[in-house]
Amino acid sequence: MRDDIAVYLRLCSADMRSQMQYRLSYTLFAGSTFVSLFLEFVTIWVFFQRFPSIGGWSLGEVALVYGLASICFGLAEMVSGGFDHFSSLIHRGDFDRLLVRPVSPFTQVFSQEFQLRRFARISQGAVVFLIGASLLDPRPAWTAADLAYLVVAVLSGATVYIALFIIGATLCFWTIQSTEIVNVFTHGGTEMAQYPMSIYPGWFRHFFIFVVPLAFVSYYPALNLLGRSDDLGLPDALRYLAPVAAALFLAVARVTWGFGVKHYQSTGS
Amino acid sequence: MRLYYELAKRSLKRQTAYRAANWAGLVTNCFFGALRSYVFIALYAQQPEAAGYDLIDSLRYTWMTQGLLAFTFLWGWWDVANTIRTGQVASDLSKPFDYYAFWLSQDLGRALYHLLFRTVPTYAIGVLLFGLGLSSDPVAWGGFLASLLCAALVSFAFRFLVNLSAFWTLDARGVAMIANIFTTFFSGLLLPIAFFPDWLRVIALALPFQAMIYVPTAIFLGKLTGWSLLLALGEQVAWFVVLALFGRILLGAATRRLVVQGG
Repeated sequence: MRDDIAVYLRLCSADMRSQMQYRLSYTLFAGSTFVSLFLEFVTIWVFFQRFPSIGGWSLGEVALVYGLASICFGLAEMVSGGFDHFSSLIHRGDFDRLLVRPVSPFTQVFSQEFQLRRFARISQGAVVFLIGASLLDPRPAWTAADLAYLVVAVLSGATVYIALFIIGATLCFWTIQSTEIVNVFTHGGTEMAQYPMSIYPGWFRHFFIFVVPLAFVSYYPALNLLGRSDDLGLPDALRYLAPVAAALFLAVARVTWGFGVKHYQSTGS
Repeated sequence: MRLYYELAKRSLKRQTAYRAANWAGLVTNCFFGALRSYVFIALYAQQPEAAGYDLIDSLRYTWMTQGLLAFTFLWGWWDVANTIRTGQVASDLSKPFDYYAFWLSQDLGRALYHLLFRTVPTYAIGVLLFGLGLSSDPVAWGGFLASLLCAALVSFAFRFLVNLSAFWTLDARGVAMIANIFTTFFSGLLLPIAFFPDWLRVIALALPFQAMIYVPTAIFLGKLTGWSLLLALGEQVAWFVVLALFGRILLGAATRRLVVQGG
């Protein structure tokens, strides 16, 4: 395990150095991503010009939810680019090469691509989160414990997305091509998690609490930071379960991955 | 003319090979359609109307724009840029057809495929899930169909311009990323332009992007009728003429300096 982490860090730092060779393209990409994502938030702002709230949540509160979802998704995208673009590895038959190396294929795929440019989404999420916090009335009096909670919540949320990327990659063992359906859960799931869960109907909500635990990415952490009780009437303890939900979901993803590797048939060439 | 008809037909047929991708796209459109519908339902729980749109208008708007996303193909069309990068463009340019019409006819064939197999099913699923219903006004339908054709033309003319940038930069993606920001926000894909605050609406209505998604959808909803409908159609045509002219001028400039390597 410790070796795996060392390998991961070594490969990622090499990847980062290589990406920084193309500084202009990096700056352009990161800059335009930031602007386009920010316009997404402007959309929510426009809604608030026309309506007083979204399901009883103010602009500041929704911004908090939005920011959390965006930060978690950006973090996950940054560290798990290898899983995000896994299909090309299968497609070209390059996965064979990974199998004969003395490091677990999981670690190798994980460290394939550290996407520095994803920093754009993380910083956009952080900016929106801060805007949200500054709009809150009364001003939140967050303590050190709240900040520690925030860190744990963000790490847990990012883990849920990483697990989703892993599951999406695992599907490629069978489909060979990239499976766009996974985008529904990653990109679609991010948009879903950018609004308070309470606006969605029961079956939809339960799916994203108990099956794909995206509710723990933003909704429950926001409830805790805002000191709100659950609009849905579920027990308050749920908001502390983010790490548990994330760990469980990651374990499921890891088992699925192992199953996929075992059934891998090379495309050959 | 026959040649371009055949090109369009081939292009339509070619699309049918990507059936799995179309299913995946349909699921994605419907997921986003449902998600945004729930947001609108939560918003309208507080008041019956906003910017002249009631809940059913906003839901229809949401599903129609999701349906039109593939039809206008706003994201990720690189066919022309790819031929510039590979050098194929030299052979295409030397063939005895009009280069602009060559690509336009293929794109219209593709658009027809997406209209039938993406726009219609997406909206139909919206009708089933959220009881959207349809307009019964024949004028709105006629205007909508005319506006769709115009939207396809404007969208093509704009994407062709973006692709042409590959003549200068080789990789059109940089320009495309910046273009995407504008198309996504100002086409009205995320929310009706009628919702924009006045100053932002003035900007949006002065740009060509609203002619790609907002205008046909607004006509479909019956928000543009009579003279304003005709005016909107005229504006779409004008945007196509301007963008197409610009595209042709740029194409001329590009081919004069075109150097193809290899052989």
